[in-house]
Amino acid sequence: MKIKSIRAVRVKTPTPKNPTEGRRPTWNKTAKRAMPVNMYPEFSSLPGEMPGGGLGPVWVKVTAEDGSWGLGQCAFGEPVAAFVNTVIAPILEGRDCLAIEHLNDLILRVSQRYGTSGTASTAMGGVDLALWDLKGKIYNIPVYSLLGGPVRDSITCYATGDDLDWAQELGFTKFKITNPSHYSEGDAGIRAVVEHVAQARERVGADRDLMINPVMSYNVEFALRLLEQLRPYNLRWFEEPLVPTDTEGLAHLRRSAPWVAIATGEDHHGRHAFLDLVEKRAVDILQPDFSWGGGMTEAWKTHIIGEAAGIATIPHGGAMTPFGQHFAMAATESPMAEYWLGTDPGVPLEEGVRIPGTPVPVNGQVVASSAHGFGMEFEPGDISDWETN
Amino acid sequence: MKIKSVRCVQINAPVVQPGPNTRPGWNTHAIRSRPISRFTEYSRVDGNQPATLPKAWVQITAEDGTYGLGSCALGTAAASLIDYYISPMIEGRDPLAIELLNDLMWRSHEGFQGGIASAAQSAVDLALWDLKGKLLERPVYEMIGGPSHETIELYATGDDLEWMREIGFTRFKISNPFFYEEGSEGLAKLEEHVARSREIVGDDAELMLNPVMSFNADMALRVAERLRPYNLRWFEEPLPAWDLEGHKELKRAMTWTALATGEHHFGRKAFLQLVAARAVDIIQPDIEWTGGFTETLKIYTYAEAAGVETITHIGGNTAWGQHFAYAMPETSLAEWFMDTDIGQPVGDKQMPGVPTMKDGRVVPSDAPGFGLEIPEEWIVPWDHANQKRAVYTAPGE
Repeated sequence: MKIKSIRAVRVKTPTPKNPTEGRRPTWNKTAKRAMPVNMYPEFSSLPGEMPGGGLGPVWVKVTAEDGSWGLGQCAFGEPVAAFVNTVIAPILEGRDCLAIEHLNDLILRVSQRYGTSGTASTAMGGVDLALWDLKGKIYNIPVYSLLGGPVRDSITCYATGDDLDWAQELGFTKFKITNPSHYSEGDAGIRAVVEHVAQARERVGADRDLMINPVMSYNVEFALRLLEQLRPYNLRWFEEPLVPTDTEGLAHLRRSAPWVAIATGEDHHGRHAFLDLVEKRAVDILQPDFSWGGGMTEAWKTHIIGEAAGIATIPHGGAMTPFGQHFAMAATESPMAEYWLGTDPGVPLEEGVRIPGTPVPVNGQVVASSAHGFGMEFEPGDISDWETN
Repeated sequence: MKIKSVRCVQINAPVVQPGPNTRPGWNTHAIRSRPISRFTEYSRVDGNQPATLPKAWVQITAEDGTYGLGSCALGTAAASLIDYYISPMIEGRDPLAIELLNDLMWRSHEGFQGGIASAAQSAVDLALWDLKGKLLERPVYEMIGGPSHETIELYATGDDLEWMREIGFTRFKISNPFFYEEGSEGLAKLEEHVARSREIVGDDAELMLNPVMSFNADMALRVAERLRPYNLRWFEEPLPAWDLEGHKELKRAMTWTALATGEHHFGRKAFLQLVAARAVDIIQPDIEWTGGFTETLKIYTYAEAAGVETITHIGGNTAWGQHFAYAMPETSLAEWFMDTDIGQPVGDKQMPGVPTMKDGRVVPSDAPGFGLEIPEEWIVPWDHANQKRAVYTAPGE
């Protein structure tokens, strides 16, 4: 079966007809966070208002000769859409849509000159996910069966966010909280993090998994001094403290703070970045992002690399998307998945679903849809060309 | 759909006679050194060395009667593991959940991995892939994301170089008669063998040498230096699989020839060691020995990320090897093992449904699964009670 077309598209995501009024605004609208750019006080520390935060989602539609189609989600707006349409589409159109290894290899080889990460791996992510969706639909099986799953009956989710009371009420028992400080804030920044963690630990209790996510906003010395202060709070893991280029720094942290696991990966793109982390034993947990890091193929290869070395892969935002849910159903060395809890407390999780057909966790457990492909339930009318909007 | 049964079987294929106007092939008489060759009471001819066990096959049948077939080496030993231990663990489970079934298998024998356990797992895994392809009505190469090549380029393993050239091969791997304790005399004999081979194939044809673990690091370095003028494409498995440090030394020293190994490395962990240390240029897992198709794909994936090529052991002759080589980008060649006589059609020993080489190339079957067409009447239950005690022939017999 040949590929007829590959196009960046926009997808109309559902909004609830009679939305439930939340008890209060979600942490996501109010919690001060830090990103690398928050070195400069002129920028907001709210995610949607940071530079680059407004680049919206991009979807990719791959259509086969017989009219069947698959959809994949990626990100970062216009530059990525342009990469899909002008670089990837002309290379892949007319080729066998089921030969995903071949297509992946072609994209990577062509992208070497532009750099295979960032814009290229995000565009590749959308295309690759659409190819897997299409393959599942053509084979009439869910993607997790294509991958060799299920390996578990259901996926254990941890909740990301600061609305811990709400997460507990929903039945989650594992939690990851935000980080308010940038390393340039020095000791005052450290005190703020410690206070934030102490409150969270008190709220969730001593025997629950608790993680923190600084999203690249530390450097090695800040991270080390902070970890020393955080030692009594028994964090399950310490996530992405450093920028992705600092592999030596991560390895140093891991050896210097053996009381906490080091996790990273949402800003590492593709198998080679993860091979480097694994071979240097720089982290305990790999966290690839499907949309940013090259899609299912790269995440699956990352899992294989980690598995051989005895390192778990827990993808970024995995339980939020059908892509992550199918992965987690099929990947042996992936003991849990992240559910990003970004809706207002009191609003049922179903109302926050942006990809129809995606199950939501019940009591912290979710099971992927067994419909074909990724089981997304978009209608053709929900999809429009990128350019026409 | 659930797995109804997992059974070890024998395939009773009729013996094909070489026919008139043929001469015995290299494989019937070539003197080939092996680790056991220290002991001169044993033959060095393939098939007569100690511990040459017959193949076992596995038949996995789904509830609807569809079945898949896979095979492995070390059959006599693997058969009991398959029928008495693996079968009860995976019967009744989802046949498409191959990751789960593999994870169960290796975790259950984690304490005694490698060798026999890996071989048993290989046959089961191959039968599962064959079954998955048949249930989905798709060729395995497509399920794993291929094809990546229009055709598979083959190299030929054997010493009948004139014949191999005549039938269309342009890449050749020759045997090695020399065991490392034979010192300078053996080294001279080996050089003569390589020099003669180079003369026959010409300067520009790829030529490889396969000592099958017959050297130690010391002698491997001496051999590499001595053979430097003959421009070998690669030097294969000179050392036993456990000698990681020896492989590292040899690769750093032997910059003029690639180092290849892997047919006796079992499972992804063994290959992780090799690749992480960048101890070889080419890895050569055997799909029927290392843990199966799934394990080979995982081994490939790690190596691919590290820029190390995977060329499986005897991958050109088998259905599994053909599907693998056709699908995977970082696999430029496959091995065709010359198992027929000179003058005999080269595909005479192929299993029904498995394509034969033509002009040095092969394309796998696009029938569902691995495309095997083995007649039902050839498939008989494994006879656990009546396995034969080995009889070893001495050299010259």
